[in-house]
Amino acid sequence: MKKSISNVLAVIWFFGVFIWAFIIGLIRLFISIIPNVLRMIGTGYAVKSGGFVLCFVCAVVFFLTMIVPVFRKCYYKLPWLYPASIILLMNLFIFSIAEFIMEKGFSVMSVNRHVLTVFLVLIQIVVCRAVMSVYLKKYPLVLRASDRLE
Amino acid sequence: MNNIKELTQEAPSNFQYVSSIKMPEEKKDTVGESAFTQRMIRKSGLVLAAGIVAGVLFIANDTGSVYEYNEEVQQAVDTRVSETLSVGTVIAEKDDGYIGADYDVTLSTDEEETTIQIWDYASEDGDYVQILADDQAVSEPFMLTNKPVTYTVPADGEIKIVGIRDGGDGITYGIYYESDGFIVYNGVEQGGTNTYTFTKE
Repeated sequence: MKKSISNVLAVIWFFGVFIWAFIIGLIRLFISIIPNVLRMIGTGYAVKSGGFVLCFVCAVVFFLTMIVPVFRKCYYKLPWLYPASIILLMNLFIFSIAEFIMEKGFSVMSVNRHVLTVFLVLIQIVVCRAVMSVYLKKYPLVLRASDRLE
Repeated sequence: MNNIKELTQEAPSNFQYVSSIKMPEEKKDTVGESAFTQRMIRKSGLVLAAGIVAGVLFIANDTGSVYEYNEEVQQAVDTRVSETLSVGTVIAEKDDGYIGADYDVTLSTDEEETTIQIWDYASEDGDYVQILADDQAVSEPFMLTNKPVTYTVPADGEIKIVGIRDGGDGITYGIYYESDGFIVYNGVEQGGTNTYTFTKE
């Protein structure tokens, strides 16, 4: 009985909350946040950023999924989802910062300011992605052969 | 080279290679929480930290201005001026395409300069304006947001607000003259100009 209830809760969490945060985060990253950065470079006008809200919501949902044993079941059934969600969150965070810097830099129309902003954003993305790569190499998110799935 | 040759020569004919060597195997975890779960729990702190940082940055960047209808707001929409609403008040949900007027303003100050505050009184839709004082640029063209920005301008002269870019449905803004304690809710089209002629009392 207890197991059935926990399974039902896990299914409700996965289909009702987790999968939406994951899909919306993934879609928004590729159709909103990254295009916003490119659009600002193309037009020279700032676009209101909204990446941090999404980043916050995804982080809370993924954190709860990792920490609550019942919600964690989706990671045991679909182990690839664990690295996918963490890497998605990392990329969301990196490009939200880039979008934020672009918005601030392009809110004033000045050539020097725009050049400096684009330069800063390029450095920020390269450095953050490098740090992310080093971190993931040192602490890989892979499921090892010896790992037991609960 | 000689040593290798000697070793090769000395090796027995029934010499066995790798098959006899056992590689150390990772110990299979069987009790308590699995290593996978433990790693996941350890990393959860990092995920929470990223969420907190994102939340803090969002709050820091948010102007907190929201449209709230009340009688004072409606009066400001009707008359386009207000002495009671606070600076930065949002009086419309979205830009209403209002094309405003020029104003002659008598300031009650002895100072040579005064400050003005300017903000977008509707949604932040990417409207850009530039401020000129006696045809000299006071600022670079900048994006209007719900958060007021302050500029120092001459207390005696012509202040122009030039519409640089319309983010949609007109460029709408609120302007507050500090010396007068007065807000004007005005609008300008892209390429258009609103002129405020300041004179001292």
